[in-house]
Amino acid sequence: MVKLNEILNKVLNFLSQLKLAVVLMATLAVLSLLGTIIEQKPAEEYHAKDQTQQTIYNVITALHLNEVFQVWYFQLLLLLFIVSIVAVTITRVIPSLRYSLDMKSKTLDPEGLKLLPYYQEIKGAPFEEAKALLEKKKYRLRPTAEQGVFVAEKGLWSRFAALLTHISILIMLAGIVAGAWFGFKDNIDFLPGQVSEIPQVDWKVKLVDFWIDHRPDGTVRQFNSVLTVLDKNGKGVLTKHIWVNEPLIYQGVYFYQATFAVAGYRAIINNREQFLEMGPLPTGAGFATQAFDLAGKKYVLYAPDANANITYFLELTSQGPVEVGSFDYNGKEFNIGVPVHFVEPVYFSGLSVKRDPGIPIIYLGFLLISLSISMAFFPYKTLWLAAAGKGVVLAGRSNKAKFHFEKEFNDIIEEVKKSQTQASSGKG
Amino acid sequence: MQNLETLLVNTTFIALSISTLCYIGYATFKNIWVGRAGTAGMVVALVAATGALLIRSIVSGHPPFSNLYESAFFFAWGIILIYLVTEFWYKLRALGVVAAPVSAILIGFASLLPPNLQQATPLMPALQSYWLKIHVTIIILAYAALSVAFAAAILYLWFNRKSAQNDEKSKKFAALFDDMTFRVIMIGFPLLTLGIITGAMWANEAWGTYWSWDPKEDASLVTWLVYGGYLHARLQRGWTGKKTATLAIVGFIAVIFTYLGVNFVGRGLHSYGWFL
Repeated sequence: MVKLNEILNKVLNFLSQLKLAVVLMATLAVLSLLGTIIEQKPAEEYHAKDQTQQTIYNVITALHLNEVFQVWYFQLLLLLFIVSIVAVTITRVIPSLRYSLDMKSKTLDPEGLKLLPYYQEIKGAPFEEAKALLEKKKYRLRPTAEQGVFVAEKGLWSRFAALLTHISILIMLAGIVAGAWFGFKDNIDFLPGQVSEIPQVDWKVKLVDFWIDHRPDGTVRQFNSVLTVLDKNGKGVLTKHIWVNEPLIYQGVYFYQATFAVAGYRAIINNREQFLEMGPLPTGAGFATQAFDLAGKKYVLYAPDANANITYFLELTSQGPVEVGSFDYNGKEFNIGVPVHFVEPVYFSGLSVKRDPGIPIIYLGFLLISLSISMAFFPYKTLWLAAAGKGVVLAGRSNKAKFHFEKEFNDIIEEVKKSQTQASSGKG
Repeated sequence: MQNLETLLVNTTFIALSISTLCYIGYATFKNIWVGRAGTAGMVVALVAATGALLIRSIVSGHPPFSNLYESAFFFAWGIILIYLVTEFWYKLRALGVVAAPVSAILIGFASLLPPNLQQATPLMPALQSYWLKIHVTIIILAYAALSVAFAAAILYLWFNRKSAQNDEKSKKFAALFDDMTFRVIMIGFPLLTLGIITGAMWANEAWGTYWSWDPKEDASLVTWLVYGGYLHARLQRGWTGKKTATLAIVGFIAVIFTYLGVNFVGRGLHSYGWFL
């Protein structure tokens, strides 16, 4: 049993070394930096132009630097980092906090006081008035076990900052794990009128409409979807208009407006309404319909971009495609033997669907870490007041803000001296 | 309104330039009135810059963070503000020698951008959220504080070198700037943390992921880790002086990379920045 304890202690001590934490943080930082500079995409999507580039790509993909945040060694380092935070909290942070809270550590004899960074003897100064002065300055004054020595503290609460910071990092990580275990994330692409199932729940969602708002200059103002939640009997229970930054939330499941793509054109040909379906070209060069016949000739619609800001109406001749005309998202009318009215593009709406029960936990971690890191700004200041012969001794230290503490210390000395002259002149 | 904004921007720039000269004059001749003139110039610059930013937001109908011009201007505003806080706090003007010209250069740089990059552009859909105000304000203030800390670290190194010749005054200044670097980082670091957090919360509300390893996110994580390392070195290891000053400088390089460098990579959701 003793052996086991010893081993455990050794492991804990190894893991809680600051050096290890620094090495881990630095390695994670360098890897994140590489992940920032190197474009993150699957190895198949790297196409080298020449031999040198091929060599570079080979190195990158061999080290998995193209997917660095998912690779096992990055995750292992993260795990090790978490473990080291836990270890350091147990072996360093908590003991150091206990030490600051422990009255014994604050009990100093007159010789010990002399070792403090600030030390001053004031002969003939009244002890009681010095005590009152420190209390007036919002110091918490307590007697120590040493006869005639008082300790006065301010900002002791800021000593909790380190513990709270480490705990909040762990809370955030717990939230991430909870999300990964109990949550899900998915994408849906559907056309207006279509219904999509969500395998994780027993209800469905229907896309009622999707449209793009434009500004007068043609830039996109907003992407909009109207969604209806259908219960298991197919009855609508909730309808909501969503846009980027405004999701639909139903039973803990969030629906975000994530993407869109042109799916076809609504057209009126010969006074008959038709839907001309468009799909992505295999070359990736845009979106087009199949060839369709009008008055004995063949035509296609072609849009270079998914937003169909410009759509080309092309006739397929034996010499290749010839442009009949082009139009923006407001459509256009043509007469090519038959009246053709391209009314408007119709889009797929792409939604991100997710449920993440870890979010409240992560937000709690966010709150705590903001609080605790701000707490760390405040100094922990300690003063000692001791009776020495007919005068007093003042000594002190501060873990931060040394300059402001030095000034404060000197001010206190001045005030104690002043009270001494007042007291003596009062007597005289 | 446009003319008034131009007038205020010019006032800011001129006030900062005068302040720069005054602070240099003060450092050379030690005349208190020259120093006070420098401070007055910084206050005028802060008021004028605040006015210019307000007018811009009113005219464009959204907070002034939509492009590089606006973010650079806002960055300069943050530096002026944080600098004035430290001046008030430490009763020390030496930092003005760096803070005034740096903010003047930032504003000059912003004003020299091509006109089409200076115009307040409408916001893309992803940026139309109240989070924009919260997230960007906090982040820019964090950048500003960390830049001021960088300036203090540089001054520390400067006075530290001078103090090698047994110059008591320089020794005192070196110690002051060492302390100041640390304390201003203690302002900047919580702000940076809060900025990253509000970014994560916004991302979670807009896209459903609080962290997507976007280049800006990665770079801000690197920056956060560097300053986290700084605080551990200082508070746990008791590092001071040259070693921590070096860390503060490394941290600042990370800040600049996060602010501008990421835009060279040119991907991700934060492409507000460069000439793209």
